[in-house]
Amino acid sequence: MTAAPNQATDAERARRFEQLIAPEVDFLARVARSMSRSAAEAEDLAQDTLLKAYRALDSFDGRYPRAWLYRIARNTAINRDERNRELLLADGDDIEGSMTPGDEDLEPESQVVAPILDHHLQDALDELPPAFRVVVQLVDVEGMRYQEAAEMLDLPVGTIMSRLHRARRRLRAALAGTHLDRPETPADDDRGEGER
Amino acid sequence: MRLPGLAAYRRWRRRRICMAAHERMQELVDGELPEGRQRRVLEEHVERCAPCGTDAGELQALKEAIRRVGSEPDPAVKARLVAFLDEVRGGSAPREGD
Repeated sequence: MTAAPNQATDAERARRFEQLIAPEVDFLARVARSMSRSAAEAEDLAQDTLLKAYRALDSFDGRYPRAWLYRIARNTAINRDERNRELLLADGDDIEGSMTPGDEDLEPESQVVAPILDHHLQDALDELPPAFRVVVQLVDVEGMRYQEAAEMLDLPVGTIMSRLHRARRRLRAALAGTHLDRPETPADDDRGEGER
Repeated sequence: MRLPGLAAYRRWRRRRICMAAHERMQELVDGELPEGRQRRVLEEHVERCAPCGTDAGELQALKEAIRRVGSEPDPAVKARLVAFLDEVRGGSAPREGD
């Protein structure tokens, strides 16, 4: 019987897939969403990633499956179309042009973010360039340290911090109009004087 | 006797700490500032300074909201992904070149 070795290989691959990849489905769904412009696009990306992961499983050493899956998803997203390539690979300074002009002029200190309506936040997250959104996803949702996110994205820690800062400024600016203004307090009148 | 210029010095120092807190706020809220004097000074300052405390609170609220929104994938999407996972495992997913 010539089929036995292949069957054994398939069974072993299915076992490794179950052990290494299946537990990361939630993670994959989340990061795929952060790399995509819509939920439908994210679902396609997650499926493509699962398929590629299955096909490449024999060459995977089994260490850090989350990071491995993330790289497959990112490469798939980058290769999906030219715009994604630009947005996911762009340097922080280069990508500034894709942010709405004027965002940086807003003073986040004067904006209110709580209570935050989730759908407004999701919309604001969707509006971020993917290169910024993935950093927010890794640090704020996945709970990674700056260093871990930098290693996963193959970027300097300084770029992680810069993108995080700009992304949050933009999110706070986008959310400011959705809430009642913070009641003015005497503290707002003399900001810069510091402690009282 | 009160030293001349002491009040001005204190105001200047407070402003300096406010500026430092502003610059390092993200690292402070993200828990990325290393243990040490600078972190202690900034943490104490943020507790006492209303504007800096508000800034820290807003950033923390944003982080928590992002975590809440981003943590749970859409249940329908997840169900379809799990079904797809079963297809891949079972070998019925499209093969290379399909």
